Amino acid sequence: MESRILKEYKDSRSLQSQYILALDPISTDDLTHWECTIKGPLHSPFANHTFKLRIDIPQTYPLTTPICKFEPFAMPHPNVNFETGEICLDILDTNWSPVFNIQYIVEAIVWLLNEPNFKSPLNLDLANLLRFDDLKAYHDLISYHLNNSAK
Amino acid sequence: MKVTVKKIYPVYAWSWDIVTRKGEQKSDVYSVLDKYRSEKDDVCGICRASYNGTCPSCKIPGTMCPLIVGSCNHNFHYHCIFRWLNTLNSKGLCPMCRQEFKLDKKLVINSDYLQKFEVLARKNRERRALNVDEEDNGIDNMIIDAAGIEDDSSSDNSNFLGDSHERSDVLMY
Repeated sequence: MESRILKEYKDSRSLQSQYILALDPISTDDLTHWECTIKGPLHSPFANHTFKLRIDIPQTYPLTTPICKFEPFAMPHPNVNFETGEICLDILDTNWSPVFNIQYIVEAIVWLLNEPNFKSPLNLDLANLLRFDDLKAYHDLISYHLNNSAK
Repeated sequence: MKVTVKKIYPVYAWSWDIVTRKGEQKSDVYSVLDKYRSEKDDVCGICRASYNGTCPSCKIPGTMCPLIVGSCNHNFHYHCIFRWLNTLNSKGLCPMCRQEFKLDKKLVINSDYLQKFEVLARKNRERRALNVDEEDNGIDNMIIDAAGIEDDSSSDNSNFLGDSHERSDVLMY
């Protein structure tokens, strides 16, 4: 499926997005490993922070899902495993469709930052705070982690 | 003036016949060219190559790498959509609209492949049926889990006390 990744690489050169600051393959010799820098959405606890995403594209792409992860210990979010950076998102699992592309996935992840879902948690502490509607503690815990990881 | 034709250079263009569904059976060269122009930007949603091109595993466009028209009006290269429907994850759905993917039976372009897709659909239904029990159990468990969570959140303390009572009972025995 090399030719399709090549097309996506060409499209990514002219990408203009408010929240996707960079979307590049780690090496232009191998377009199966990408790195992406996203900006935390405004009006979310992640605003004013940037995050790095690692995207690994399997040989069977686009019939199977790319593997997307945040950096370890960098993303405190109910649907992200804090230690590994693993992301729980339906389109990255059972609802994958081969018409999605890398850019679409990154946009979906930015959207997930704004719309956390406590029903499929990978970070139980944050998901519980959100479920019991303790938004102050939720925001405080996130900014605690964000400020800690920045150091 | 007398014109003598010395040589003729014919130019041909071809395109998959996917517009005839509306009964417009135009066959003059201009309508074919128009169709070619309007469709050269149409790409297969799976491999992003042109309808009139090939899927990534083929070299020669045309009947070697045919196009398939779904009843939902979404088109894919035969090889692309077949590979997708052959994965369990596809659940037999169209990648574009997530309806069950069926071929448009009225179109000549599909006629050679109707049977192959029916066989594939049947095979996948059987494969899914084998998994259905597990999946159903999974859904049941999820419903039970969700109910448990609801109970926890609404009457957290009483449940907790109940648990500890039971535990103290166990310890006493």
